[in-house]
Amino acid sequence: MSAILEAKSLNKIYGEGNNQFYALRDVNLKVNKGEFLAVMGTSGSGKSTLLNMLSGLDRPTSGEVFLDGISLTSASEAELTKLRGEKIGFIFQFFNLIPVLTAEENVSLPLFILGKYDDQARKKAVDLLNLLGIGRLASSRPSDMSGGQQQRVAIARALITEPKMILADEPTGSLDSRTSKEILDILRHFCDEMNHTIVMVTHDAKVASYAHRIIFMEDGKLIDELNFKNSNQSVSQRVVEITRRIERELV
Amino acid sequence: MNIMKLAWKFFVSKKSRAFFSILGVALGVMLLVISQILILTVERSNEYTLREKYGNYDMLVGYQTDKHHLTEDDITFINQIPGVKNSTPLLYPYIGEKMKIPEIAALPMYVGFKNDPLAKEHPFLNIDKGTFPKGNEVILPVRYLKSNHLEIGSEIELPFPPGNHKQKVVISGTLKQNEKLENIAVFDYDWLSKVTSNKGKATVLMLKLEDSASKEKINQMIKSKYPDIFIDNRTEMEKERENIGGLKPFIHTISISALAGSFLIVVSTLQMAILERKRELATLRLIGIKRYQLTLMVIFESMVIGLIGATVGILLGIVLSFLSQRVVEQLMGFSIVGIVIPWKSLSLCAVSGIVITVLAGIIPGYLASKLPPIVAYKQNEPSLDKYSFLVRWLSPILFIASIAVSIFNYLYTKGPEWIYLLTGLCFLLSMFMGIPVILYLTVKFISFISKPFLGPEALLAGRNALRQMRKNIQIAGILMLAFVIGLTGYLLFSSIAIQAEKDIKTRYPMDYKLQATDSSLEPGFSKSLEEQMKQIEGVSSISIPTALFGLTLNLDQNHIKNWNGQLFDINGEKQIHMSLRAININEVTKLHSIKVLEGTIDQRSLRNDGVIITKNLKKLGFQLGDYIQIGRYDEVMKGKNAGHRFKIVGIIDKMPVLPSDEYTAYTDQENLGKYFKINTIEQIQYNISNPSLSSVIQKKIDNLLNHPDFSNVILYDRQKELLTLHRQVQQRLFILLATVILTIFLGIIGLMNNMASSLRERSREFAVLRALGSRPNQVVRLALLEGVIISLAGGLIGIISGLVFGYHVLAGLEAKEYLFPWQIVLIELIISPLIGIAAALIPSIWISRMNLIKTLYQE
Repeated sequence: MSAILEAKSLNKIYGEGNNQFYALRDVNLKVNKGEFLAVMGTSGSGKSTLLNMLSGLDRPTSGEVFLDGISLTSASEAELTKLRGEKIGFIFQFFNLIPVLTAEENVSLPLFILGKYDDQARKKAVDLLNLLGIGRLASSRPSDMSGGQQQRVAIARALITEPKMILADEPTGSLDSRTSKEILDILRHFCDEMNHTIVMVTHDAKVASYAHRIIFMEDGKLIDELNFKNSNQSVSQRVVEITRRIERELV
Repeated sequence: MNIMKLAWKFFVSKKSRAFFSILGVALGVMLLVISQILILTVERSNEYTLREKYGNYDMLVGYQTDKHHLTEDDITFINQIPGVKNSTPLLYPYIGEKMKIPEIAALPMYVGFKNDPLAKEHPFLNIDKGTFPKGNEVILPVRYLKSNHLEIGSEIELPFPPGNHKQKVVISGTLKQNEKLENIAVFDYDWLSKVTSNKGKATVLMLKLEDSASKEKINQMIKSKYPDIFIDNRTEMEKERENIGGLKPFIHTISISALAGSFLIVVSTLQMAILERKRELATLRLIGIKRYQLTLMVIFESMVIGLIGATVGILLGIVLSFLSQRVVEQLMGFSIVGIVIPWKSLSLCAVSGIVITVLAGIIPGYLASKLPPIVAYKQNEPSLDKYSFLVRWLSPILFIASIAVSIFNYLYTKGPEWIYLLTGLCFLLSMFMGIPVILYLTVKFISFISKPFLGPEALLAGRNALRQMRKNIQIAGILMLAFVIGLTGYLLFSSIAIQAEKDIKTRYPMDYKLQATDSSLEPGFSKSLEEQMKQIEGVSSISIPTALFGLTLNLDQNHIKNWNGQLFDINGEKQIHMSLRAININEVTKLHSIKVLEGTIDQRSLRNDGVIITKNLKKLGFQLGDYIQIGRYDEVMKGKNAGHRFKIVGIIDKMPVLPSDEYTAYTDQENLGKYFKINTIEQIQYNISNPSLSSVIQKKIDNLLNHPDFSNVILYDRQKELLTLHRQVQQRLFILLATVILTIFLGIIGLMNNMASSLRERSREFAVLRALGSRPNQVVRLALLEGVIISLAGGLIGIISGLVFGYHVLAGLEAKEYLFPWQIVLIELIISPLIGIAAALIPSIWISRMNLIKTLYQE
């Protein structure tokens, strides 16, 4: 399997001299196409910082990031913006939908930004909403939807440009357990059936158990990894395994 | 920590909002200060101008005929009235009867003055050369001297009726060349009173008061003792003084706009502050703060804003007044003697600013206190669906009623003009009250029509603008106010200016007028001037021969009641004065058209003892085909002449070259010469057909006029009158423009504040757009578009309101001229979106440069 995303010797340092702080230390990572990767760690471990590097929202102090063979670290601001629009999909914890737009318009937003908002785009958006089971809400605004429905709209938005990679930052952080399960099933489905690549940041073991592979971060370093790709373990077994790893790290 | 400390912390936590609020109040106070300084400074400067123009005295008290006089006792009584500072007597020995005394009918009016400082304030005592007359000396108009080949020092004999009484007088000086002084002869009061047997008497007493405010009281005291006395309160001067040449109402408009604009800015800013701090205020409510304490916090904040804003505003106002003195002088068209600072008024401005700001804080303060904590935690803006009673019912009712009444009045009832003013005001009020709904509909309309051009950006910007509607109502109100003031003022000034220009062109039908001004009943100059004028290339002229100063001799006695002027008793019948003029119809019709009501204007008919009369003479019983008998005035009065009969061959509306001659008959020049020996020219009206030769031609004419034969001719230039009019219009337009610009500036400040606040609130949305691939310039464009939509909506509402209200004002003031102000509407349409761009530019650049990650992950 080819690596769609590669990070080499990533370092992110804040401050100067004696006040330097390493948010990331020498992180090396490869994500293959169609892989569902979860990044776990406690607060301040560097997982969100890593996500920002991988998405091009921030630049590392040193090291390189390659997305689909293109170096993000040497791209200009304009190139990064373009790359984000074309090759990366985002799913946020607080959904970040535009309140004044309908569900269909929110989903089509990336195409609108790229200047490709036409009838075809609208149809594609509605198809995605149908696929996610909320086609009937195409003309509704976010204020008229539940959290789960809004997150589904956000997922559809992340998928509309057929990105190389989807980055999800605590995608179920604002949802109840039942809705979270629905959302994670959807994400897992897109990976397994449609070969999308997802990198998800979470602190929740149950959420992380849906991933193919989990990497653990602490103090800016990658310290451990669990691979469930070809595993037959049940969800609860995975959760136990993950929890054991976390506890081991804590000790 | 007490409430006030907490309020202070809130206030300083958002420095940019605090800055905008203070700026809004400061600008409003600054405008007030500038307007107060301007009023006082212009008043002072104007006072100097008025004194130069009208003289430094307050009243004229006396009689307008020689039948009554003020005696020494009368003069003493008047001088002793409290408030009268000093006085000087004037004697007009023949006032009211001059025309009936043939010896002096054709001479200048005799008037006697005392040689004192107060008398010298009288406009008649405008001495050009020479000295004040002593004893048997006289000052005469310069034209009189030239036409009679006299000079200072010449001795002449003047009649002093009754009887053949004559006196030798010496010319001691000349009066300044002025239309009003052409018929005045100034004598020493004491000598004139002795010679005319009026010793100790005065016709008029000139009064200077201690304080012009006591004028009314003094007026009443004099009137109570002398009911028949005539009092000239110098109302024209008073009006000019009060209106500062007609400018005060417009300067007050600045004050009112400033107050209204500032009020709206502060309400808007404080409301926004509450919306932004909903969560914090709700938290305070949750932990037990009382409602009145919340209100106090907001009011405290508004007081701080008011205090700082007022102080800054006063300082700015004073500094700007000094800096702009030259500019104001140039644009207002008169010199300012020096900037005057009215400290009392400025203190009042400061206090007004603070009070207005505190009052403006009461509404948002009250609303803040009513906020249920749970509501404050909701993310959504309160919906605009729930409109108040005012917006939902009163506004549309008032709107429909005002339009309906106005149309009905115009088409059917044609009632009094005040109905238009009332319906106009009601319409304007309905628009202001209905701003929430009208703005909403206008924004939707603009978004809709711009979608084909701007695509989804217009959709997003439009919806965001609608979302911010509540915040922008006051700003739309300010913009609407600015445009209403601009349009209404422009419509009013333009209408007045056009009418005034028409009036000037009526008085001066052509560009220039050469007018005979010798003091006789039939002034005129030699025909040779006409001939010489015709030789000057590039001049198109019409000559108006000297008119016969006549009396009718066969007036229909049944029509006397239609006459408002003086009646003369001739052979037991009442007759009226009228003019008989010669006219060359061909010459006139080359440059003008004559509206013929009945009959003919054929020159041959006129030559055959025919006349054409103006329509007003018809009211006195003269019809087409009748004969009108006219005699020369002084000959008829002496019983010497039976006049001549002319047949009325035509009736016209008016003679275009003499539109103000309402009671005139026109005949051929031959008849005037044949029957009345009149062969002179009274006026030559001319245009210069080749403007490039204007200065050369004028020089030739000036040289002609310097000839002693034409010393009684004065040149009047229509252009000068028009220039004076244009200068006055320019003054008013300047004040109007200043008001509009400053009000718009207030709107820009307010909108900038609103945009900054609203973009800050939505920073995460813009961060998401950036994360999804939006370029920084796209974000800027979106934000700018939002500002443009809001300002354009406010502008459109303002234009429509301004036009409708403006036309109502014109109708209410019985204006004769209506125009559609294309340029102003176009300018306002162009300016409206620019206002939005100006207001949104800095906030949109700021939002495009925000830290993406920090904003994305903010709580």
